Amino acid sequence: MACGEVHSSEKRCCRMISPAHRGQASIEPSINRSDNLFSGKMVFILGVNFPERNLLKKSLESFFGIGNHTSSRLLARFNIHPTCRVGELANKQVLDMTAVLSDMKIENDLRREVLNDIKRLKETGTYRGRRHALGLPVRGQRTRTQIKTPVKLNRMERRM
Amino acid sequence: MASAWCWSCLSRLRPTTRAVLPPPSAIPRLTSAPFHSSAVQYAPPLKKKSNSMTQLKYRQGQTLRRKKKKTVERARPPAPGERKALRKRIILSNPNALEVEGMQEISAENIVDARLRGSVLGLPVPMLDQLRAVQAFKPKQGWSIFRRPGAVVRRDTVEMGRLFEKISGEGDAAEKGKVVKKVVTGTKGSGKTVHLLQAMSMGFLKKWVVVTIPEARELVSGDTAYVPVEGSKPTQYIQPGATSALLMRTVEANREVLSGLKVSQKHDIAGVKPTSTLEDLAKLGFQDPALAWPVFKALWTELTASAAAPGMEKDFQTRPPMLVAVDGLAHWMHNSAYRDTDYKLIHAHDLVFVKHFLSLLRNGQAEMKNGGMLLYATSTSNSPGVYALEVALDQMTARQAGIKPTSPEYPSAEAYSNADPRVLDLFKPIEGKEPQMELQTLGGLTRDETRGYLEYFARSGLLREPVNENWVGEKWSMSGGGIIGELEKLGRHVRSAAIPTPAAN
Amino acid sequence: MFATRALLGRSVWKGPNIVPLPLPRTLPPPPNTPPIRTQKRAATILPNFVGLRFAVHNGKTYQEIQITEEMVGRKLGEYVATRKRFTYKQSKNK
Repeated sequence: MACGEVHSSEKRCCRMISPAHRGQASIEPSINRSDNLFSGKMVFILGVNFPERNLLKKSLESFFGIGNHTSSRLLARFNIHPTCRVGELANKQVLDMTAVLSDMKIENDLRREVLNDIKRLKETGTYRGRRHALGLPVRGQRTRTQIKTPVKLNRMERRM
Repeated sequence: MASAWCWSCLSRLRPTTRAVLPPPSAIPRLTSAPFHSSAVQYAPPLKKKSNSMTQLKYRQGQTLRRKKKKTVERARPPAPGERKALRKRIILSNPNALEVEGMQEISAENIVDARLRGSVLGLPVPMLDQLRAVQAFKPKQGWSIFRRPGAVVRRDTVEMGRLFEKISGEGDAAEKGKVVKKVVTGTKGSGKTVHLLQAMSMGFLKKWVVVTIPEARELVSGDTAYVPVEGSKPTQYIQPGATSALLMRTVEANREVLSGLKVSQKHDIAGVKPTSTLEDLAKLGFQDPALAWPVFKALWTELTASAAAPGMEKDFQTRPPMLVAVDGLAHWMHNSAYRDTDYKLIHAHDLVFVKHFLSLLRNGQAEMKNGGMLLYATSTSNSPGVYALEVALDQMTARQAGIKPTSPEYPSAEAYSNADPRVLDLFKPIEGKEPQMELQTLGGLTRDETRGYLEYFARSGLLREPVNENWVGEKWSMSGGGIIGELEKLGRHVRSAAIPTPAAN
Repeated sequence: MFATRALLGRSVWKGPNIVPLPLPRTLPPPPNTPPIRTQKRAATILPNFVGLRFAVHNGKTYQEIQITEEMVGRKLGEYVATRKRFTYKQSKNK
């Protein structure tokens, strides 16, 4: 009996392929933190403005001298979860973070240090210093091919 | 004996594709006569069809010219969060599926009815919102192929229904207020999550308080905020965001029950008045995540209270039993993705939220004074391999089979395996103290249940084959002995592969 | 010369490469002392070398270098190049 019933309504069966969008109850509101929670506000960390919806980890990594290693440790130090957005930080956490960052050798301080190191190599007349000045690879790589990066970067007056 | 066939002709036969070959019944037609005098090699070579790629015109460029791919203008990518919403969307109804006539709804009376075994009971429409609130439905489950959501009644379901009746105190008064603790396991597709869903629906029917953690992983995956508890050793961590979400789920689903209960203890939380209901109390945790954990603790003491604090007895009502359902237990048995200040991974048991729910499970732990049920299900689709948990579950199986922990057959962690002692300790047997933890392993459906389940497919218009004994038997064995997830796949699959039988049938 | 040698790192337990060199008896050496001729390019420059003059072999000749404070810890060979810069020379007989 059940079978006959099914065949009598074959047409309806075929239409079932079309996706059924109409749920019986309402579709749950999407969890969309980045859109709903954060407006277009910005947060100052170490004098840089970050949009609220950016990931804190990535924002930290935008500083020269901070990569995955340092940023993940920084987050752990302040008990901030890895997927935290900039806007989720409490004011105190922002201040703490800024205080720690300002003690670290990052950005221009770090650039200056690296440049000074290269300069010292050049001034004492070492082989490495000479290679830097000539725009050639420094660490014994071959020079027959593939030296685009040193040609681009190694200069008499290196910039970073 | 010489063959009538010229072997040199055979050498010219090229392998032909099957489609080109004439049907075997037709007489083979030969392009050349079987006998000839000139050798094949002297025949003029076959002219190749002129190909535009090989024939070059005079002074034509020899580089390969290809048309550049046109950049296809794509539609705008979906807005942020839209893809996730689509992925998490739960469709509970398919208006194109047939209405199953005579389908019963699950109700407080029929949950113990063993005659209903094998039939699919629909979930009442008003309850759907509650079930959605506790996230009982998962996106990958096949709710969207039927007209309305329903779940098949199996042996375990009826047994669970009986437990619900007992704990609610409807049958034997002695059993009232008992605590049942179960770890639900089973192979992939054996219906663990739906078993939890059925438990939740029974909980709602019996007016229990239903507390669920639909994804245990979310608490340890490092996606919500965590705050250390000062002065705790080893340091414990509170998860305000997750707690707030739990409160929201609980209030949303149990509004009716919670709004009928008044505060009966003293709490030092700002905003709690002696006249406020438990719903009001829980709502305090919504706004301020910092308050979420204290509020949850307060709510818990309220729900587990067996008597009111002195001076507050005025409108104390007995608290209902509670159902705690956790899905994906294994995630709580290893290190979480959170890190402490020394950059060491935090063990999941050091998260206060997780610890609270795991301590309930402990053998002999009877904090839930008003009784209730704890259902902690493992998952097979999203589960980290935790060796210690496997050992602990094996040990539980052995204990249930009557093997004493002192006997040599009792399983234990292998030497040098580094099994997590905290996990083993959690499942440690404690003799003589009730309530004890039980292991419930979900297996396949019986043949009768399978038949009922597949008939439901047929009556919903998904199956076009006659559901008879042989056919069901075949599907039953194909599904690994009635594993319900496999049966569902078969039920769906058959529809597209079925050959329409004549209407006269 | 192999510049990465220093970067590849030398085992700590070996300590610096101390090579017996004919250092002058008196420090600082009297003026007009000839530079110390050596082929030990891999010798580590020790703090007591500061102010001395060395003539380090570059494979062909001995080149003089004056040791300064900043050179301590490096090798003698680092300051004496072994290769000439390539320059194109027009050959006559062609």
